[in-house]
Amino acid sequence: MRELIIVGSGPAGLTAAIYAARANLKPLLLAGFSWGGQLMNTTIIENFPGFPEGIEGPKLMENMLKQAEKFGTEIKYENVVEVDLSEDIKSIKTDSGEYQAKSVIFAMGSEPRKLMIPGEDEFYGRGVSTCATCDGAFYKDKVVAVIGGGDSAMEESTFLTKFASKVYLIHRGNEFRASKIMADRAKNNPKIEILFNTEVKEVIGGPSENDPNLKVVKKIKLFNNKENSESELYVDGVFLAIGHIPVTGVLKDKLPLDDHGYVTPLSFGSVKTNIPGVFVAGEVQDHTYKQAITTAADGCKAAIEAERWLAGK
Amino acid sequence: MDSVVQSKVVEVTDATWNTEVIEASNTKPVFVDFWAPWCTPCKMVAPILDRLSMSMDNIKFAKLNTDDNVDTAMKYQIMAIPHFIIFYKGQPFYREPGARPEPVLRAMIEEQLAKIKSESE
Repeated sequence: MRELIIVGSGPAGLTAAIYAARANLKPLLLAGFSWGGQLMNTTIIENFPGFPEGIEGPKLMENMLKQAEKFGTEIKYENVVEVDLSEDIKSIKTDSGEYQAKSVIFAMGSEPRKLMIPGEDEFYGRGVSTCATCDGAFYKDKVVAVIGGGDSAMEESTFLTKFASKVYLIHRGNEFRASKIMADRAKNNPKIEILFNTEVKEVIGGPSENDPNLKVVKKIKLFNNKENSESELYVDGVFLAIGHIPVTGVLKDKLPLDDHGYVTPLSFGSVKTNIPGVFVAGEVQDHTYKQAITTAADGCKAAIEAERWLAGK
Repeated sequence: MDSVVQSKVVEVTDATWNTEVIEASNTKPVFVDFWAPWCTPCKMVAPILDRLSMSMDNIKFAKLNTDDNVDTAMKYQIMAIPHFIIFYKGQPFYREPGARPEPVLRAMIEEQLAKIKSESE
């Protein structure tokens, strides 16, 4: 039975681990099978303070992991499947084991939102992707579409121009939500063609040239919501950049969740929940800021709160 | 401290593809891991395949670096990695993209091996 279990290995989880380990809480961090959070799928982070030349996402996460381990964090690369927060001793079940602790910090973050349109699941990994940095290299000289209007969509579409011959940037609104600096980069890129007021309704596949038995993405069905017209666009790949949803499935009926699945903490910005000894950090509860630095700050706060709570017991 | 990795995973290339995978799959299914050095989930999967290769005798394990072997990667339309294809009798029998934990990979392979077995009976 441990003092503290941390679930999640993005900036929130790993920062919590650094602080908790230095406070001698000997934390167990359940990192998930694919550890590191969303920053593992990005190229350079330019706005994390302390790095005027920027730092690669995976490098920053690797540094955080090393730091957490240096001070004594025990890390297991397991996925949490069930939690029991009803007793004094909290119980966390993973795909490989079961662990008990007096206190828990939930920092599972969020994962890419899906459009939930026909063809999306069928062609995942065969033309449909949620990660341009992961899969972009396979679309050399091909035509791709990026769906979204925020900073991620701007970054992904700009990144893909390094490989693709053409990038369609498709957004259902009539202006981007992205920060001006990112939106301008996309707008000024000659390889990017922007389609506003456009929704993607279906991903349509066909036999690949090399193997008629293998179906790959061939085109997408579009709907212009301003002119109420339909059309088709031939693309080899579709990249979703339409936001994220919190990974709070295991917290259903255990902690209060709002309409979008985010945990409702004791008050806005707090890391405390309605259960003493249970804390939430990062994008499982934050849908306002969603920055690496704010997420890391949450992790720090949660560790400090956990330490205080444990000391007071 | 140096530890020797126990593994029967064979590294294949564009040049050795036909012998090591296509022809070999005529007698025994071949599991191919399409990976690249910059792919972090691929690194999570590699040691799992090393272990599986030591304990699963009914299937051969191979891996192909998609950076260095673009022809084969393109031939099989690899658009996301890690990508796993099980070859049998020279053809892709089953394919699935995405890293996953050891028990899930093992179950996936065993399920396909059972299908191959029942098809050949």
